[in-house]
Amino acid sequence: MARNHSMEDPTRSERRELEKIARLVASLPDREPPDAILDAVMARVQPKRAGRLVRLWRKLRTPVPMSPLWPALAGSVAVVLLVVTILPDPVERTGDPDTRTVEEAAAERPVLFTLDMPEASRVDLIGSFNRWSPGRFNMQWDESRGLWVIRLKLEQGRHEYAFLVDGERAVPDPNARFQEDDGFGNTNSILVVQGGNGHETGI
Amino acid sequence: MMERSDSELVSSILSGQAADYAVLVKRYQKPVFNLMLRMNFSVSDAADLTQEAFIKAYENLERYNPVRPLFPWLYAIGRNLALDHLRREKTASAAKENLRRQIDLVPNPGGGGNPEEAPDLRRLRQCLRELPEDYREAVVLRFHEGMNMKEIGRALGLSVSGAKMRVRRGLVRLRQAFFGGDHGEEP
Repeated sequence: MARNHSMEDPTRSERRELEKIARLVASLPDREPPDAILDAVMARVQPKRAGRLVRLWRKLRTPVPMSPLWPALAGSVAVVLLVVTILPDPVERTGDPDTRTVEEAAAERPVLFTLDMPEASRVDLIGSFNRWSPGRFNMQWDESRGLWVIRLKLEQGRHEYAFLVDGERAVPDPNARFQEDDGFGNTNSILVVQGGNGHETGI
Repeated sequence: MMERSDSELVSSILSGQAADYAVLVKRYQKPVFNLMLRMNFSVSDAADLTQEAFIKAYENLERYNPVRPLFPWLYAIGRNLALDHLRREKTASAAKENLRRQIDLVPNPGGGGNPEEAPDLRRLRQCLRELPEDYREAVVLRFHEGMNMKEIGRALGLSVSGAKMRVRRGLVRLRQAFFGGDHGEEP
């Protein structure tokens, strides 16, 4: 009878095999897309019509020749602005509890990652923000602090990450507040970046 | 200089700066194009479908929720387009043969990889081709694209627990195919 414990309780050798498969999938080479895709897409997209507030803002920034009617015109603009402000803007979406405006979502926060591992000769930060690709975020050894460090700006939200030590061993952040088992015996650290003055981890 | 985030670019595009869409296309055309290749389309069809996916995404950009990552949303559009195309044209088996012929001709663009792993990668590609599409994509999204389970769920239309199960089963099936043997058999 076939055993079925790989799903819930892999043996050590099965786990090694699963890890090897995961590593191989991660390192599969991608094929470069043809250059023509970009040109073809951009040839077919038309500028979006801006929302009411954006259009009004642009209109207000456009120089207007002075005339005796100017005070009356300014008054009209103020009324329009008031009316438009209390109407829902099309950029804002309703019916979704976690909806925010794009401007709010665009905010990025500085984050300092550190790792206390002086015996390592190289440490890379890998995570959901760089598609778990080693080599993009190399941590630097900070002699004065005795730590590996890297400072990044990350979008607000939830990020998973780990430290890749000497290019071969992924270790979770020992000081992260949250860790998550990925289901295959690996532990990823969780960082939730919120608004405010940034978030430091590993300190 | 820090590159502009997806949500900044979307904000700019929605306010009329269509040219900023080129940045998003450049950023994500490679994974979408490779998704199409994995779906067994020829290079030419994969390029056409990638193009269609980005045009459809642009047309629906107002519906994208900016608090969520953009790539799973784009990916879901691309995958649905590909599945619709396969269903409509019923070209799955023909396309599969296309890919079977072409994939062995695809040079390894990685270049700097470990040469000892090249046979393994070739074998893995073969095993991935034979894996059912939903399992294959779950594994690729998790370990190649680096999505978390929530994002995989959004991309594949699954709950988080469903995504987790799909990834686990996909990986176990892939391991079985890769290493052989009867261990780890699924019900």
